[in-house]
Amino acid sequence: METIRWGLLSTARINQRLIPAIRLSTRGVLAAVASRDEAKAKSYAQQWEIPLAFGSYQAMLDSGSIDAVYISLPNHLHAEWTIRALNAGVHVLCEKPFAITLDQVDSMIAASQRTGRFLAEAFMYRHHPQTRAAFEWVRSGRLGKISLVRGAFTYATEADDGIYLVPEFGGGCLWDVGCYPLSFAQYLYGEAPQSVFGMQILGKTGVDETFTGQMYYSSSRLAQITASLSSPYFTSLEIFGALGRLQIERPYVELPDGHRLAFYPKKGTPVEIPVPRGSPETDPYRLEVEDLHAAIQDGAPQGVSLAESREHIRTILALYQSARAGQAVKI
Amino acid sequence: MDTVRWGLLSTAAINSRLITPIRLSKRGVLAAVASRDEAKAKSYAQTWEIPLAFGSYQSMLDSGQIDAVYISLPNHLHAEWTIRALNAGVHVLCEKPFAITLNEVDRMIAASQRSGRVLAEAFMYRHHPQTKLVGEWVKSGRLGEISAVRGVFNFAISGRDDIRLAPAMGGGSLWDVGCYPLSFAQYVYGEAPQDVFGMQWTGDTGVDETFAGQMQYTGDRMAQITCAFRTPFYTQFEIIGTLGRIVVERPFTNQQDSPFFTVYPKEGQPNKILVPLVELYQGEVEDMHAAILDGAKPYLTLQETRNHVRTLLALYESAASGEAVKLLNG
Repeated sequence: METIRWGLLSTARINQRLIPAIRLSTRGVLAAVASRDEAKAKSYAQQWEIPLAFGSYQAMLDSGSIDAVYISLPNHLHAEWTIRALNAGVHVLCEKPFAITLDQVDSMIAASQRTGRFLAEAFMYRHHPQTRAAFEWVRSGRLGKISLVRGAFTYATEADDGIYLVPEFGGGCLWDVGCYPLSFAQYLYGEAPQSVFGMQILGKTGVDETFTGQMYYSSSRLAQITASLSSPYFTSLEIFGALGRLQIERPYVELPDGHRLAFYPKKGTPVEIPVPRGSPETDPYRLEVEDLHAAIQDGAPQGVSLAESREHIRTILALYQSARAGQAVKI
Repeated sequence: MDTVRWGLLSTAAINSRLITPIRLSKRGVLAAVASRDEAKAKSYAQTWEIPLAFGSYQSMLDSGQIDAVYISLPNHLHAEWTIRALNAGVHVLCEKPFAITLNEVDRMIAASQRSGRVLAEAFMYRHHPQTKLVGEWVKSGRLGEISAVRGVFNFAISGRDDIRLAPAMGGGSLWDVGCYPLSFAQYVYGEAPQDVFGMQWTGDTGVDETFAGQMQYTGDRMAQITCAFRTPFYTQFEIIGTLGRIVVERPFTNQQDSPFFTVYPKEGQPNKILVPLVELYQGEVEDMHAAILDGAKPYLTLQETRNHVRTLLALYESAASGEAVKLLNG
């Protein structure tokens, strides 16, 4: 079996999650890093013991020394560099949100199809056993018909100049973290909503610092999401069915503590659902890397399909449109 | 007058909740019950050891035997019987939701002002020490600025002939239980929202059996509520601030052995705040007694009550039109 040589496109902080993940993976090696600043690339490569450093993104893509690239650029650059990578014959794992217009998403998907190279949105939590266990619990019918999903992702920005505060960079809390509960709801419902409504609080830089949204799905199913970048860190998701409720504490990032997956049946005591965590085998970043490896080398279906990624963006855009217009938006 | 003689207007199941607190109170006595069916009134009076039974609501109101009445009729009858009671010189504690049109609410408030009798909406949880303590935490600033609150009240309705499923009777999950998280949000924010948006799942009888609503208040503050008739009992209320978060696990019916809510500060460990264990409905009864006997202002104001109904109506209007609805001032 051949190894997959990875390149990091940018030196963003999130890379630190992917570096050990690639190294833990059975088929991946970390081969290169690129920055627009060659000195920065070199010092980053030295610090993280990465063999190759490139002073331009394009040079790394064209170098022939990488098979796959992880794109952790600001949101507005995802499309351009995903397409450039695919055109250079490189597989792409692109950070969420995939892109900030539907045109961009469609161009990215078209580039993947044209080049025959794989493309995936980096929603790491989708690969974690906790998420899979929650999905299986719902699918097993133990909750009965589910009619409501409620999720929150809030955190407090540490800097007041972060890229997620810049409107032109695709900043805003819905783009940055609201996409998590939104994508979880759509994972469970298996579709995009029929109509959405959003409300936002714009900060002084012009991006949404708090966003509340609700979505209406087929068969009378509802979802409600809350996102904020001005409140302490908090994540939770609740799934309401006719026969009970599934409660997930810390559904997204694997943390040292505070995780919980529990089923509250209509009658009787809550059931704690055991989930393996905290080991290299459950590292969600490793699992998303392995998922792409399996797609590339084994032809396995991807954990997060491009159709789903497109629906994420379509729904987020509709929510923003709704928040601006003050009315529901049909999808 | 040093005790308030209470009458129960209807023999609804909820009445049994009021009987204990009225009897526990030093300032109230349970004097009478009325039903449109005299035999039912008599048998109810016997079961609950109530001195007087009336075969018509009006005859109880006109009997001179009661000072205050608890109205637990279906929602669409609240206004009519509240106004009749006030006109008969009887103080009124009326179940939530107060009424199902704003015109009704305004006529109820006018009747209270004209008759000089006390009128209050029966939101028992608002009088619970837990709710007041949560309010103090918010007011103290220890949560920083509040940017969002989230609340839920779900339960599974049993049977399809329930009056809460009848559109003509003011049925629907938002009227019935969504009003709880909504009123809690407005208690926290101290006002009615500027904009609301609602989405609903309408069941086969024509009422909302699941409702999701969003409200925006002044100062960039948001609220989200959900309610349902189709999922098992679950209530929760959460207040999200810049410095911390409060989670109330049993915001509306906290009668566990050791009631508490939890404060999650920005840094450090969660803090469990214990709450006195009290009879859930005692507070609203004592509040009526203080208003009637001492001339105190009812704790839950009619302005708040009017805003509850106004907001509920706007949410329904929004769910029907698919558009956000602006609430005008006043």
